Amino acid sequence: MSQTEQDKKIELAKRYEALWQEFGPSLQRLAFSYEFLPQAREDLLQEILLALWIALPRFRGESSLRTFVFRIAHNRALTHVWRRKRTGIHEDPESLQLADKRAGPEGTAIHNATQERLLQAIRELPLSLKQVMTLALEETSHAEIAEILGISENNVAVRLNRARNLLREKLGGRQ
Amino acid sequence: MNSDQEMKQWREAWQIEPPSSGPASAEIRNKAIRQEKSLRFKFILEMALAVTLLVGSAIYSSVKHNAEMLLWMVLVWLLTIAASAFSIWNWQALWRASAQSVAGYMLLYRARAEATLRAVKFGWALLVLQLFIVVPWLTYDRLQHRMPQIRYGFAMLLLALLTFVYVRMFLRQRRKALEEIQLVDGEVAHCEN
Repeated sequence: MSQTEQDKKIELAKRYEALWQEFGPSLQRLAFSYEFLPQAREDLLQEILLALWIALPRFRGESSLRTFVFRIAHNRALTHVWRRKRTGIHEDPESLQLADKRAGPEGTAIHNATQERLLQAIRELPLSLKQVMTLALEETSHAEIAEILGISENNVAVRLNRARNLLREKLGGRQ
Repeated sequence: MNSDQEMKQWREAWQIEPPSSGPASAEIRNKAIRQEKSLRFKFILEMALAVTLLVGSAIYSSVKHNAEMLLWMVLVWLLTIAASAFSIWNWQALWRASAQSVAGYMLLYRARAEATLRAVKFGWALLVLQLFIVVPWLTYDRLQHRMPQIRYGFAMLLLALLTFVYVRMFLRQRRKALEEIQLVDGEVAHCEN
């Protein structure tokens, strides 16, 4: 390997590390909003991180790093959910047996009750509303959400409004 | 509560550090993936050894061509076939995870450790059986003066050495398998608490 290639790899690793430092918690929350089972969340997070690792060298700064990361993460999460629905991966009885143990009402290690209720309610939102809501909760602007999801800002506002109403309804029902 | 306050409250709840799914989940999955290559290699080695034993004993007994050698060949064949059949049965469906998920790999990792424990038990039984057959056989040959003292001594030494190697290997495999089971169970317990 030439010196230039090695430098590039080191540079890429540094960028990746910085990206993880900045967006790691957001990506973990995103995985939480899509997957209930701990192992499935871990899988989704790994898939997102791998996709980011592959895509990072192509990032030229045309959009903000935040937009870039969330776009990839949401696209990967969608693929993950579609694939799960198609293959029924977590319907494997053996996996479920273990997953149930790990993620039962007492097993889920969510320490904060409000967060637990919120996460549960967000997981139950339809995909299109869930995407908008999770991005909004990460303090992403309407313009950025529009860019990430490839929809208009008006559409973002409409979806967010629907998501809020639905979330309010779900949380109201749980209290 | 107005909608801005509501959103602020949700954001605060949302941005609490999410809990991890357990420290060892990813590690166990990676270990299970890495195991695949060595398992295949071990299985191929076992099968190659079995074929060598079958063919070798057949050739040897046909060269010697007497009743004792024929009996010896039959014994080698029976034990080799039994060991190979057990190995195939024991490792079936454990080559790959049924679901390519962390849960699937954790189950697979635990199932492989259990298969190793079964293999160790079977190995102990086979070793004891072989010693019960071989030691009296060779000793009888020696007492009947059909085997020179030096050859008998060498055979016994070789047998003792092989037994020592097998005992150490079984003990090590058992300890490792128990550690693997403990790792998975510990990870499950971590998520339950």
